[in-house]
Amino acid sequence: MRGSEWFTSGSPCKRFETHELLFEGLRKLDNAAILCLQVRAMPLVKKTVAGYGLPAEKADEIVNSATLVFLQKIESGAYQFQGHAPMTYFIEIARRQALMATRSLKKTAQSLDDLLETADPDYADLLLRQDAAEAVRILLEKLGQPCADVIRLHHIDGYSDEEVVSQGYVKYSTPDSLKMKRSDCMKKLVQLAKEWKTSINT
Amino acid sequence: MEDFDKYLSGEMSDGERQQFEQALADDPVLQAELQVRVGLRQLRLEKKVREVSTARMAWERKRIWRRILLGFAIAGLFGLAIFIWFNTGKTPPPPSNIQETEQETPVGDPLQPAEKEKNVPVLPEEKTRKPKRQDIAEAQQSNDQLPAPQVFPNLRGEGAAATEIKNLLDQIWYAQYPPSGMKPTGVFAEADALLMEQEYEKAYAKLQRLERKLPENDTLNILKGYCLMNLGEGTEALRYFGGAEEQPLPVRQLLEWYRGQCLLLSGDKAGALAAFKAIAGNPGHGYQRHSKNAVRILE
Repeated sequence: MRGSEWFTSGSPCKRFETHELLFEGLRKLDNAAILCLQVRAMPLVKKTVAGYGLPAEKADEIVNSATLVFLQKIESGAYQFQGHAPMTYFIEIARRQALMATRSLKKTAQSLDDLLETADPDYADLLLRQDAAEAVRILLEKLGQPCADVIRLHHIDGYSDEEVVSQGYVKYSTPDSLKMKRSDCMKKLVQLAKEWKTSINT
Repeated sequence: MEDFDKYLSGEMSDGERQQFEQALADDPVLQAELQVRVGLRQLRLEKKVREVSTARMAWERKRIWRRILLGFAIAGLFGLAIFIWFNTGKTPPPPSNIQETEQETPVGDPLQPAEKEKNVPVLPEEKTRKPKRQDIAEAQQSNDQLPAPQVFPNLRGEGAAATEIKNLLDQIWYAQYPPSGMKPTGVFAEADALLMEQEYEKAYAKLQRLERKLPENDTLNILKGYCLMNLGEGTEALRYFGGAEEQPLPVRQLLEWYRGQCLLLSGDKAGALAAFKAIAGNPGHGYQRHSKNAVRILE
């Protein structure tokens, strides 16, 4: 970045002047769109966090978890663009995340049923997904190389097969051979997951 | 694989979804694969959020630095504006005012050292003054007699009255430059150089320009008055000399002498005579002898 850009690059939302542009950016997991969302939301999230009596450091954590929930909702089609500001929905998610954080900090004599009644389904879903992610992380380690890399580059890092081959990230020389290898690796990973689940259940 | 993507992206119709969930319920391998795909999607989202979180921290740091630099820039501009304001609108104190003059000879008339020592009350700062070589020379040269009057340079108007005044002025005119007790320097240096060359009009123009930049200033008033006096503008000169009242004794005496000359210059012969008589009647006055001479000529 040149010095002049350092001074002039103000808002990260320049590319997302309309709600629709921001939504499209979020749907494509464009980092700039996510940054725009977080930067715009942060002042309000900080206020909410302070309003719930949470420590100021919690604001970052809440923005990040709210982002995860929101992106997942967009990805799963649960949130669809209908002309409204995505920010409004995001702030509501963040508020509920902050509320859940408040509850998790409180040591009350509430029964488990009471807690479940008041639990946020998004928050519960997020916890399930995080568990699944943790399991996959462990299974990828068990899977070993090159399968772990082949799967990670495509499914987690988001590279296309062409990019992976042209950049030489793995030893496969054509996209087709890479695709075949990934298919085999996925089967192995699923098998490992099945065994893992069986071992937990028994 | 495509089924999983459609299912997880909410792109299946209700029928497709029911069918898929039925198959899922009966097949542990499909369940395992669904868990793997959910986990992989979550890992991808978490990675994105981590990347953005890092970028946001960097952006916020940059924003803070930008604000700090902007604050410094504004403070700098503000400081510069104040500096310019104080150097143009307001004014620095005149670098040489009368109290701080280099030429600190006690004054009045350097031609009367003995009389002065006896009679003139000495101001505290005058005790340390040393007579300058020029003053000593002048004093030695004319211990008992007045210097020959200088030729009065200018007088506007014609006719008998003007001629008479001019003749009188030519006999008594005394306006040495630089005046005793003054050595204008600093912002007055250019005007000073012009006055040394008797370029009164140019010097006056220079002082006019200075007057716009400087506040009310005794040195400026005296120099402007001096220019006007030498340009024959007695009334105007009196106005400027009148604005320089609070002066050390030698300068005050000098101005009293100038006022007498200016009164005569403006045609007020009686006023001038009264002014010279007042000086002549003051034995401690540095211009007593000049005034006695003037009184004699005017009478």
